[in-house]
Amino acid sequence: MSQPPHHNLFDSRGNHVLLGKKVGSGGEGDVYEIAPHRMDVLAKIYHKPLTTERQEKLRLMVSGCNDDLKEFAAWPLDLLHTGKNGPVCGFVMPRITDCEPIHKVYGPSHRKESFPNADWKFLIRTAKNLAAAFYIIHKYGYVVGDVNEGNILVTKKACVRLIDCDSFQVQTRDKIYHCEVGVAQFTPPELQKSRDFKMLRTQNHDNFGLAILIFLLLFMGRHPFSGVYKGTDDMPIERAIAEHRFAFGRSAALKAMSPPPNSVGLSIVPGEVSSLFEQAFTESGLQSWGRPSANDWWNVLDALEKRLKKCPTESVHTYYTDLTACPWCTLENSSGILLFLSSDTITKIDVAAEWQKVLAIKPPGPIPEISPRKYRCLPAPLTPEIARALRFRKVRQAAAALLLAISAGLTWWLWSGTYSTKDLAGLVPAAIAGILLMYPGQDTAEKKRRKKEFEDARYSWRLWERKWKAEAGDAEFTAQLGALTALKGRYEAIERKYKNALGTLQHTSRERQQKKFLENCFIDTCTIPRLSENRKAALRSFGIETAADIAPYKIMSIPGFDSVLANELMNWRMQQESWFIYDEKKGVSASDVQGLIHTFQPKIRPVERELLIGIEKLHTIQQKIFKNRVKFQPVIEKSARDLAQTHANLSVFALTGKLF
Amino acid sequence: MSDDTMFDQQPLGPVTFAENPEPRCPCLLLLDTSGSMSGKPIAELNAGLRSFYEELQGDSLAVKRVEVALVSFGPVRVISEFNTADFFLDPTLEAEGDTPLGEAILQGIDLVRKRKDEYRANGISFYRPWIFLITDGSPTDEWQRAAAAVREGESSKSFAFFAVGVQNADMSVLRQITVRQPLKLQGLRFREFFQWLSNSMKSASRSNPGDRILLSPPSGWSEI
Repeated sequence: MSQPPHHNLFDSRGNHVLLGKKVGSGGEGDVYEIAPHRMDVLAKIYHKPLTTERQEKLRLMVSGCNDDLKEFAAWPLDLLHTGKNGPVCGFVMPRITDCEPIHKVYGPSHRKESFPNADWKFLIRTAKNLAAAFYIIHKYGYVVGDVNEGNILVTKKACVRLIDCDSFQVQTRDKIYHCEVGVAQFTPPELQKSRDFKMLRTQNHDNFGLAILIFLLLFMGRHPFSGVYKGTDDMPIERAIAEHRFAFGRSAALKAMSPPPNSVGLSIVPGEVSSLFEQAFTESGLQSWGRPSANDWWNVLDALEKRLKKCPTESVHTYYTDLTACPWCTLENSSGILLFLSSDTITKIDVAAEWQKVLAIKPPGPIPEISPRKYRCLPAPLTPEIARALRFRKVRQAAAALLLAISAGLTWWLWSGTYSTKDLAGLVPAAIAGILLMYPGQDTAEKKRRKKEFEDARYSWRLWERKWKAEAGDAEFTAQLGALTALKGRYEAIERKYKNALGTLQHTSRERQQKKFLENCFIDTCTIPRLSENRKAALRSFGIETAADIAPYKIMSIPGFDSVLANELMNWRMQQESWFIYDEKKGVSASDVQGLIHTFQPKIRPVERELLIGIEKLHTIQQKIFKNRVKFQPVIEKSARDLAQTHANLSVFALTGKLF
Repeated sequence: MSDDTMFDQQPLGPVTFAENPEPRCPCLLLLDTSGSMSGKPIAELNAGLRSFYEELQGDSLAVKRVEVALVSFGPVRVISEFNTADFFLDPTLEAEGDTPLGEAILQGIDLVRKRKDEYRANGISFYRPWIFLITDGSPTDEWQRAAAAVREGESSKSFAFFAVGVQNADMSVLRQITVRQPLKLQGLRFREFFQWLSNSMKSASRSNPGDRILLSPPSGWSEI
């Protein structure tokens, strides 16, 4: 790794400062570790020379630093100069570790990954701690200014840390050092119109951003101004903020807004909390000190935290005790999403019991057969005239047949001899037969009518038959049952894999207990004579802090460590191991099991939901089929009978078409 | 084993808006995959596309906010509808067919319109969509109607339309389609282009869902 290009760096007491590894990079500057091994602080070095004003601002912040501020913020602790007493080019600040940006806390998808154990109580605690942080910043007269989702960090214990503090607004009796940046989603309506941020920022402005963040935390990452807008034009967040269109508020409808689908609203919090949101997001907030202060928020959130209860069906669900039903169960069930990872079980259902329900749904069975063939119909009687005409036609047809035969025989006999024009005489009987056949009779019209009736009946039968098979057949039922069987297979596979993983946990619990034990044997306590404090520091800088981290190949790669020392360290590790006693009762720790649950739950949950919906659907399909069978059977039968009848009617005229 | 493979399948589809209600930054890529792109150009395009998604996946805010849709043309095909980068399918595009640019643009605009409707219905704020047309040829179909749709969309601020010409692209047609100056890719610098695009998307996804368009200067990949 190349050395950072900052050799000529001094702190305010004139001590030379050496930078270590670069740990971050931003638009304005880079962040470095400070060598040698001051793990608790970092240095920010700006890319460009700072204006006198920026230098003054940093100096003021350093001199204003106190324990309160240090606890919540990466506050400038000391200045860094280029050259002894040279211009300020950076500053030293507390190092903040093991944190995630706040957007990973309020957004459900990232929260489940980064904070798998977080429940609503955790979110309220984060909001409360955020209010506490703002309270401190404001108490000492600073303004955050650039409130946003990236410069507020949260620890695993819901503690809040503010970073990028050098952008805060600093005010002295006669001068304001501006905060010149901002993010629109957190910017109050009165500042939305301006294109830059070179104006006085007030705590009331900060309190808007604070209220937005608290809303995001409490309501699953929903932005208060992001709702369903009734208009046809675009409604970006800035515009909604500028026009006070609080989508979850009392007067949302008046502003043509409504909350998004699959969201929870102000009804899940007590009146004190919802009225603070109303105050923060509506016109009343515009007046100076119009919005709730950090202190106001802290008080109501603290009260809410004490009035929570656990959901009886899902212990990870906590909610406001005055509610009659768990809002998270309601939302999870209606939307199918998983808001919180459960800590006690991967699934809410008993798949065997659910399958009993499937088996209880009686299959409709094959479709009752309805066919025109089943009907034996007598042809409709003919009127005497038509009957007579038909008989006459039959006589004519018989005569014609006879004549045709004679004609064929004659022609054959004549043509087998010599050829002459007289030979065509054999065709004369055929010509007469033709006339006999074509001779119109009274029966022709009747035949035509019956033929049309038959064709109509056949056409209509084909339509009905298709409908019958589609809506009363059991194909859909069978398909759905097949899909459910596949889903059950998937569900059981996940469950099996989860149980296997649990089993593995139990088998390896000894190893893991030992590892945990070794992780508590710090190298600091090691008394090998050759292991000087410097060498211990070197080990730490390579991430080797406890006996668990010791491995020969790791140690040999550190400059100044030879195989003898590596062996001594390995011996020390084994000595520590010998003191380890396996505690069988401890077995598998709850947090290990929880980790497994958190991995498997998001996988099984969609299958579980599909299965439940699928069972419902199977039942609906079965009901529909039975209903359709009752409903359509008479109609279908009538159509089949009609076809059989018209077919019989037509058969009187001999030449009948195909039945279907 | 068959159980295991089934188990590892994640259901395909967008993370529901309720799980990730962050404002969305939609970006549509209209990619020319006509026969003339075959060989190195399509390989570079594929590599660039992959790195584009990787860049987005590596950014915790962009991965929640930037949604990308892919439409390839020659013939017109929706490779991927709008989705966040963690749902990247890694398609390997193949060069085939002609250049039905007009149809691709119209279908792309339709995709954008539908996605915006979904955002609206679900109360999700969004940034003005970006459409990037990347082509190396000249249209083989009627493109005037598409050009009119682009102008209409730009003037109503429904989206911002950018055209990038590759190699022998007909820049004069591109100039007639976009209201913005079309850009010419230097050689086959797809990777540099996508690096620039992902950086632009990342900073846009941190800006404000309004109408301003913040593109960094197209250096490193375009001929001026």
